[in-house]
Amino acid sequence: MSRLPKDPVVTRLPYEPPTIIAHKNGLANKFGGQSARRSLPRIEGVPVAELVERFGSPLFVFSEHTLRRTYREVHRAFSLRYPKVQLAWSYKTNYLDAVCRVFHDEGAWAEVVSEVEYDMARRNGVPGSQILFNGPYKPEPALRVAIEEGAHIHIDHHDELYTVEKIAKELGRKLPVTLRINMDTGIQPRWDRFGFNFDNGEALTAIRRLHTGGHLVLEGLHAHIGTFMLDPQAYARGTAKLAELALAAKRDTGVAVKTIDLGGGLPSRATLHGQYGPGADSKPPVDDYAEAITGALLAAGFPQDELPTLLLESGRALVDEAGFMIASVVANKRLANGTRAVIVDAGVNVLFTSFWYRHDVLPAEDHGGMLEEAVVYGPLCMNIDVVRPSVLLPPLEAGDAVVFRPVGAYNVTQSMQFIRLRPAIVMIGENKQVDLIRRSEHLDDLKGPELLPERLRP
Amino acid sequence: MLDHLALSESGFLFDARTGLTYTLSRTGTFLLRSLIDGADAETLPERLVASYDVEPLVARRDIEQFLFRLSDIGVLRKDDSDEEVTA
Ligand SMILES: Cc1ncc(COP(=O)(O)O)c(C=O)c1O
Repeated sequence: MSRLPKDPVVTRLPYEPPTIIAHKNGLANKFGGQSARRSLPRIEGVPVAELVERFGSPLFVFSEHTLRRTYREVHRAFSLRYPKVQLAWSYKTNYLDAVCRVFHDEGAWAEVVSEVEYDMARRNGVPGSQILFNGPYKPEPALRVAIEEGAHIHIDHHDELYTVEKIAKELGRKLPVTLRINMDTGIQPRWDRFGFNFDNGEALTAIRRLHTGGHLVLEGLHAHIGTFMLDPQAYARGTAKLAELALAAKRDTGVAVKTIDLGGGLPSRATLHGQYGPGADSKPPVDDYAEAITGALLAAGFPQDELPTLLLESGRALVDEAGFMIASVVANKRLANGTRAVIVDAGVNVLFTSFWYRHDVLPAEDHGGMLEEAVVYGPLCMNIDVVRPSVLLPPLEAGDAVVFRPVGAYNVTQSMQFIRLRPAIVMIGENKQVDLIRRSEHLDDLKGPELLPERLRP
Repeated sequence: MLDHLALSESGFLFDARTGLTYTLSRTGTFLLRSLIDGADAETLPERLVASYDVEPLVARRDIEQFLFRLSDIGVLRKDDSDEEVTA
């Protein structure tokens, strides 16, 4: 070949890596025709690059605006249709004080399932009378504190019923309690390991027993029928059964139930693995759930002056969309079978929901170049560390930021120090002010509780 | 020797030996066009750097991977290969 002509005056074209993609003949595009170029340069108006510069990568980001907006949307959907509605923020979904306090500031009570969560809620200023205490294991000392402080005890099984009865006897006063109920609502999996069964009559029998015992008063009925429920009609069936039970209890004992609690389970806009198309498109609007639940309550035949208060214990639906994870590309790879792989600095130890969700992954900046399917791996030295098995991405270089969403639900609480420590978390306020709400961890956070036997010390 | 390949300016590639079609990025198109026109693979980094805003080291790395991929999926084959690629 002859030497190439070189003209220093000619400006060179913008670069993108050379790639080739085979067409899959006759196969429908598995991205549902979604090949539009998408990127997320800012979160709530704050440049992603600036967040990484100030707080490092990876970084969890929460939007206060979205927390408040989502809470108001859910509350409004129910309170427009029913006169007595109270939301209780489900603590296990996200423990961050800043997040919990935003919800309490909006008027949420707390739903907790252990003494640890109970103490968190108390520290956040929630009075016992605004705490719903769920869960299959409430140690007796914890029960005593909660009862003393006027918390709402949701009884899960017969053994707990006896324990609370015993405490009531000792205190010499009648204690109000709520019973957790499980039932067939036509969906799988059926959550029948918690509470008393409706369909086989166990629940009504327990209510009669509780009444004749003379130490407890039935205050409410509770059911949490599942999580990420995509069928509002399952709630309609669940509500109808709880209402039927409440009316049967009134008939048998003369006591009118004050609260009906439908638990959590409302879906977020996340996409489940195996779901076709983005989840936001297939998720029924919250109004459909509100219509199903309040419709069933209003049609159940409660006397007007005995209409129970509707309690809801939403977690995921309130917080998921407010959470983002900024990660940075560590390396690009081509696997032996030709698959493009992108390695990022956030793995499944901090993005636990990757096992269920197909998170949206957006480059903070799209430098152009051809979109190509890629598998996104985390930085852990483990085969399971796949944060997104397949996604269309433009060419990315090491150091480029990508944003995962929605990640607000369950990731912060279920994240763990495994191979890597946990990253910093910031909250963007309504005024775009960015506050650090949890610093990134250091080795002492991991090693602090450990003790070394004398004989192993140097 | 690459006359089984029909490559359009927009990066659409038809491989007459297999009937398979592909899409290439702009630089991918540029490189494969050079090869079809008879360029020596050794000169590709120099050509890419001359036309595109890219560091020589990055160009070399990316071209190496690209050529590997072309032969991997059967678009470039040694003439003595018995390999068949089908849809
Ligand atoms: C009793 C109870 N209430 C509420 C929730 C919150 O559920 P979600 O996040 O699906 O709204 C859970 C979650 O498991 C739960 O067990």
